[in-house]
Amino acid sequence: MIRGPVLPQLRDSLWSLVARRLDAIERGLTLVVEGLDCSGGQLGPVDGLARDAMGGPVLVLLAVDGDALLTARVLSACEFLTRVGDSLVTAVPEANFCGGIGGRVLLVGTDASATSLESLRRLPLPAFQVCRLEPFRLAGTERFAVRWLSAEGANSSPRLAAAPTPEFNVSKERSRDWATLRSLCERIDPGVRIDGDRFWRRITWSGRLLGEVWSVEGELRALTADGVQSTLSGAGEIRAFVDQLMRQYMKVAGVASGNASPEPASAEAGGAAKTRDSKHRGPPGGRSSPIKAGEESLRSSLAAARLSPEEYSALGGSAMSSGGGTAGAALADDAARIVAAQEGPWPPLRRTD
Amino acid sequence: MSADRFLDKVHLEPDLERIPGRSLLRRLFRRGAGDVSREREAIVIAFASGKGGTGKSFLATNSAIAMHRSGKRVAVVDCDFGLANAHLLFGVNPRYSIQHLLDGVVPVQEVLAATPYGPGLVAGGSGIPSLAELDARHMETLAGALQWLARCHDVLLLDCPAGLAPQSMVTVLAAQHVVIVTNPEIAALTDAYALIKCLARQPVCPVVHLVVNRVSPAGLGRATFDRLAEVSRRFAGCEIHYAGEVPEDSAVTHRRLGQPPLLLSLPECATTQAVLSVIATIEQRIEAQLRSMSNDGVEARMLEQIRRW
Repeated sequence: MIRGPVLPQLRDSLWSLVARRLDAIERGLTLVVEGLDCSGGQLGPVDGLARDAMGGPVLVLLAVDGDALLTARVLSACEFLTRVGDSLVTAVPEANFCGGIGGRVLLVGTDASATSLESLRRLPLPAFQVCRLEPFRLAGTERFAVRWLSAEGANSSPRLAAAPTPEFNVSKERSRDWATLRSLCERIDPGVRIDGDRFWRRITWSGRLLGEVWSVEGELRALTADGVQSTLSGAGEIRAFVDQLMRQYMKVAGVASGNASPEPASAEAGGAAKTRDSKHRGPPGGRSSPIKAGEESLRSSLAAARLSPEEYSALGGSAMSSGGGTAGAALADDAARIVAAQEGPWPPLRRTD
Repeated sequence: MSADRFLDKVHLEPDLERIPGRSLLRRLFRRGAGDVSREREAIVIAFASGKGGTGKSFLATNSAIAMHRSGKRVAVVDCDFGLANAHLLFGVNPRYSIQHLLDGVVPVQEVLAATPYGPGLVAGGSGIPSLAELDARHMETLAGALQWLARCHDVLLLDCPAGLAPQSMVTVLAAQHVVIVTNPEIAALTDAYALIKCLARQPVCPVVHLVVNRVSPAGLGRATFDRLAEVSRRFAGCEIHYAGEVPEDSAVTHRRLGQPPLLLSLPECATTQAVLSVIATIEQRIEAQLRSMSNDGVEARMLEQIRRW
C-alpha cells in the first residue's frame, strides 16, 4: 500500500517537527524557548518564542484540529505582544532580541486545521501571520511546503511598531562626546543599534552586546562587553572605547580570525558573516567548543586523506603514476603467485619440432 | 510474569559450555579485575571500510552472533544513516530505527530491538537522504545513546557507513578498535588505505584490524594485507593488524531474505570457520591491549570528535 504524505496531527508531534524546522518556515527564524504563558495560565501557553532574522520576537502558535481555545490564544498572544513586546529585549536577555524591532505572532497549521486557519486569517489583528504546512513526497522522503495565508506573507513581516527610545539624558559638557560616539558607532556597521532608557544606552549588533554607556553625575561612563569600565572624557577615551566596540563586533560577527560563530541579524548581514566565516566554521548545529590551537580539525584530516601518486602506485595501482599498466596489476600478480605456489611449478615446455 | 515463564522467552544456548574459547572471553570481559577499575563499559568495535559493499554488515552481524554465543551481551548499532541493512541480515523489521533516535522521537531503550539470534540491534535509518542533514546535535544524541548501550552490554559493534564523511568518521572514532573490511581489488584497497591514513592523523588512533573479504584464491588476503600494511607503515606511519581473510563464497552472495545468518545455517562451511577465526584473532588482540588502552568512554570519544568537527 502506498501511503500518502501526512504531517503529525497531535500537538506534541507536530510541534517537535515545527520546532526543528522553524528555519524552513522562515529563513533565520530560531526557537528561543518553548511554552510561553501569556494568558495567566487560563488559555494554555504559546508553543514557542522565536527570534527572527531581524532579531525581533515572534510568538509561534500551532493550530491543531479540535483546539477550541485557539482563537482565544491567538488574541491573547497578540495582546501580550502589544503590551510587553518592547520589554522582551531586556526580559529575555538569552534571546538576544534587537531593541527597536517590533514583534509578531505566527500561527502555523496543517490541512487538518484549515478551517481554523482560514477564519483566523480574516481577523484584523496587527502583526499577525498565518501559514499552512502542506506535505508532499519527494524521492521517497516526506517534505513540506509553507503556504502563507496572510496577504502579506513572510516577506513583508508585519510588525508592531516599536516604542520610541527615550532621549538620552546627557550633560551639555558631554553632549558633543556623545554625538561623536554615536557617529563612530554608526561607522562600525549600519546594523549597530543604540537603545535604552534616559540614563543608560546599550550598543548592540544583531542583538549581541557590544558595550554600554551611562550618564552619571554629568559624566559618560562606558562598559565594554569584556567588562572593562572607563570614563569617556575626551576624544582619546572615546576612540579607545570605540576600538573595543569594534573588536567585540568583529568577534561576534565572525570577522576576526578567532572562532566566533555569528548568528546573523538580517539576511544581508547573515550572508556576509557566513561567507567570511566559512573557513572556520564548526559543526553544523555548532554547540561544540572551538578547536584548540595547533589542533587539526576532523574535516582537514579527512581532506588530507587523499592519496598521492606514490601511495597509489605502492598499493598496486599503476594507472595514475605511470599510465602504462592496468589498475590492480600488482594484486593480479599476487594472485598468480599464490596460485602458482599452490599448484606447483609448471612442467617444462615440450619441444614440438 | 513468573520467573519460569520469563525464562521460557529468553534465548538460551544449550551447549554454551562446549563453545571453544569461552573461558578466554570470560576473562577478557570480566569487569573489576586487574587494572581495569573504571566504570563498567563495553568494548566498542567499529566495522568500517572506505568503499561500500565490502562485507561490513555481514561480518558485524555474524561477529555479534558468535560473541553472543560465547556468553557476552552484544548489541549491534547500524550507523548507516541512509542505506541500512543490518536488520535484513538479522531477519527483523524493528519498529524504530536510528532515525527516530536522532529525531528525538523515542529514547534508545525503545530503539534497541531484540533479534532472534541473541544480539540486540539498533537498526539504521532509511529516511535520511544525506549525511549533511546530520548535525552536531544529532551526533551528540547518538553519543549519549551509545554511552547507554555501552553500559548495558559487554560488546558494542558499530556497523559504520562507508566513505569518509565527518559523520561516519565520528562513529568510527567512537570505537577503541576498528575492523577495516576490504576486498582484494584496487578500488577497495585504496579506499581502505585512505581510511587508515585518515585514522592515523587523529590525535588518538584506534587499534586498526584488517579483514580481507571475498578472497580467491586462499592466501590472497595475507598478500593484500602485507601490501597495505607496508604502505600504511611507510606513508601514514600507522601499524595495522591482520585479522584474517574470508573466502569468496556463493553461499553468502546468493542468500535470500529471511534465511538465518551463515554462522547458524552453515556452521561447518569454510566461510563460517574463517569468520570465527577472524573474530578469535580480534578478540585475542583486544585482550592483549585491554590494559594498555585508555577507556574514556564512548560518549567522551565521540564528543571529542564532534568538538574537532
